[in-house]
Amino acid sequence: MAPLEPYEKVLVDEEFLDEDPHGEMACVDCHGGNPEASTYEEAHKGVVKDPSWPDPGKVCGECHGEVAETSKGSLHFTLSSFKHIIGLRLGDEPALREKILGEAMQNHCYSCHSSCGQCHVSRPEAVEGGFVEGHLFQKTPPMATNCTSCHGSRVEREYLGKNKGLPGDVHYVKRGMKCVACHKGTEMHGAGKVYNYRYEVEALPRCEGCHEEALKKGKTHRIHRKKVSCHVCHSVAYKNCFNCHVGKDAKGLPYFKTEKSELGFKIGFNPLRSERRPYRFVTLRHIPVNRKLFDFYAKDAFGNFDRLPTWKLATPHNIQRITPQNKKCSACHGRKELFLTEGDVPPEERAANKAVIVPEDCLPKAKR
Amino acid sequence: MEVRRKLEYIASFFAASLLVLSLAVTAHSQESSCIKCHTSTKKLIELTRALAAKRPPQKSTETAGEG
Repeated sequence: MAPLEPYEKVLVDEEFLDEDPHGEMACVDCHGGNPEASTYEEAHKGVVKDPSWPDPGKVCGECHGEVAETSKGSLHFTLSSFKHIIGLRLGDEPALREKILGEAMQNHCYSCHSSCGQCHVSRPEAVEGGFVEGHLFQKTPPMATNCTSCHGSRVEREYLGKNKGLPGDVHYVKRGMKCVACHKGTEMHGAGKVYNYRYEVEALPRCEGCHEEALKKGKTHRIHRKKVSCHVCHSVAYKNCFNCHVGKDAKGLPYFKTEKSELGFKIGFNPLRSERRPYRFVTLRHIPVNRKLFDFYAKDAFGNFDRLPTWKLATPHNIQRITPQNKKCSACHGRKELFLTEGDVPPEERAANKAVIVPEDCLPKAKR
Repeated sequence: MEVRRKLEYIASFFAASLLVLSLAVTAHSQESSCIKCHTSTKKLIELTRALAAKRPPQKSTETAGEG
């Protein structure tokens, strides 16, 4: 996605004033400021750049009350899963927890949120904002500017086939389906609840939603259904990140550094087994976490690092009908290298991944 | 008598039109300082350049790798 010139970010299309119902309101009604002023400083005194953040109910809620209310709990708004997961790994000392969950996350994590305006009017602030189309409201946020602009390194590259040597997702390549074809407004707008993990969201798309009949038909589906997730058989290699650390530079500006990611494919035990996801085996992705991530703020902040796996349940967005591991039974059965075994995990991460590592005696046996 | 009534109608029509027009002009002029600037590419280029010179973007150059 090409960046916008500074002037383009705030250039209002006159069509907004003539065609968009929101254009019937005075600018000051949503943004504040002083429309009578003649200088930049005076005019922008008290201006609210994004009137939908942090309270979507304030302006948007006047007309879109229900959506504005539930959105307060949506993951895009709250980033509650970040807080929950980082909180679980942190040590127990209250001062340390306050420092990381407050200062450190404020500096490095919370800028990644989105809001009504940052999906329907502008690009998200995390990617430097700017109107999508001259302040015209977008009923459906455009994929490139408002979905993959944030979900780029993993989802976009997988879905569009930008990872070298790997095909794009069949839903995109064959059908041209955009993100919203599966991820509907009900999922994005939340249900008014606060979630600890994104996999808890009830409105998440399910493959069965479209492919129920196909799942009943084949023998392979009947055998494997509920034992392995769809991704185990139908996704190809995806991106894994192994390291990240954050800090502030000499000017006091926050930064992050991640090491080069690696493409790989690993099947492991399901760390979030539930009625919705009863599978024993799922695809796992290594996430950019390590014991030293927050060392700039507090040494050994992750006193409970081993509480969660560093190889996390993954739903790669590169679905294929035929994959290297589903071509025939022996393409997966007896193929130890497809599974996350103890040898794949460095000793310092083995305790954290105990629940997802597949022991040798649990590997699917080779068919005779 | 009838001519007079017609003239009254015409007069009141003009008066109502003038009122609507003046309200529209007032509403337009109220938001004009926002609209005038934010719909003008030229003005925005000048302004954003001046602002960038005054307040350069605050982003660490140490950030590296994929987010």
